[in-house]
Amino acid sequence: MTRLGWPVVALAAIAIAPLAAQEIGAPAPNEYGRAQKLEVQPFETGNKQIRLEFPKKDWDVVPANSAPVSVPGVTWPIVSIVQKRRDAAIVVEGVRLHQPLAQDDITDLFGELESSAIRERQSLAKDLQAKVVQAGGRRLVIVTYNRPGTAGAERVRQYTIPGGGADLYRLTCSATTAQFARYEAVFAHVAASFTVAGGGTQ
Amino acid sequence: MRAAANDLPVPRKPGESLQDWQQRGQALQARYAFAKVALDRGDYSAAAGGFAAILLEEPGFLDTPQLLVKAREGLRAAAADAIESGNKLDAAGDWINALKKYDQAREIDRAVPGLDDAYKRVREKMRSAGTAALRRAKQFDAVGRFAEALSEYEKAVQWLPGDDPQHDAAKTRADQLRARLK
Repeated sequence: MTRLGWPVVALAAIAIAPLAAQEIGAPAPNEYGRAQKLEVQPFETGNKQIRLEFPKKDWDVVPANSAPVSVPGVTWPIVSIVQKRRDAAIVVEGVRLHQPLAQDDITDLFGELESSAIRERQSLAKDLQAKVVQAGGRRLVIVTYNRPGTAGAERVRQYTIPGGGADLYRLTCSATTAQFARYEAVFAHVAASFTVAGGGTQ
Repeated sequence: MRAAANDLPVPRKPGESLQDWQQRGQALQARYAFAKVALDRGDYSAAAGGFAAILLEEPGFLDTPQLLVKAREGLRAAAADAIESGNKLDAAGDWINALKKYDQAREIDRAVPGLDDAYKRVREKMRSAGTAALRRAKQFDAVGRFAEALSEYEKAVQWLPGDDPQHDAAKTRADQLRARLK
């Protein structure tokens, strides 16, 4: 397996850090949480396994119509939700892990692994900041970073949400850097409303 | 060479023949000399055992009581040294060898102060570190980084106690990954 830019020193520090030093905090309100004033509509996959809410106005849904893949390490697209002016987009994917992970198994190391995976897939990604948070009865990873996009620089927030067992879900929320703050609450709401039947709770 | 009867530091027992008395006295002197040599070379365990055996047979034989105290002090000091070495290994994170030093200390002197606390402290650290290693292993494993996962599973196997269910789970997965990475 190729590895690009793996922060060995950071990982070593995590490896020897006592468990007590890795207590999981809550996300910032702008990062994760329902937006009370946002008018939303539900999206549900055909098998009703995955559900989320997104804005009622000015967003288009592009369903992927693909079934979950049972091959470990392989990602399958679930849905893309795109702002009509193409200022922002939310791409939801699933991945089957090689081994199941319980909520407690998600530590700062997993945040680093998610950052590493982003670097592998997107060599131009920079300023990655990963954190593991506990919210709504579940543990998830939030990675925020910058990357070049077709319409200029983009800011991205990826939510990595364990779906219970060996399934993991990634919500990649992006917007032009200039517009990111405007859509942050939408991203936070979509992530907080994302549920997996029999798996990740809200 | 036969010792003269009045040279023997052993009182004659009632009804004991002269020959038996002489043989017994010579045997005690030989054991005394052996134990004293052991004491002089720092083999406190052999010395203490020898002196204690002599005193069982002949209480108050020469200066054996004092030498037994000295041997036991040496034992206790050697055990304390072993604990100290173990503590240094513990501080350096070498818990496996720290436990070996504590085992040595226990063999030397089971009653040495601080031994139980030292065992408990290191075993708790190992259990905690083993649990953390297993957690890291699962995370590496989940995303397919098998070499790193194996390294962490091996640490978990080494550090978790054998009666911990997580120990067997870590060992099973480590074996699978080792075979896969061959």
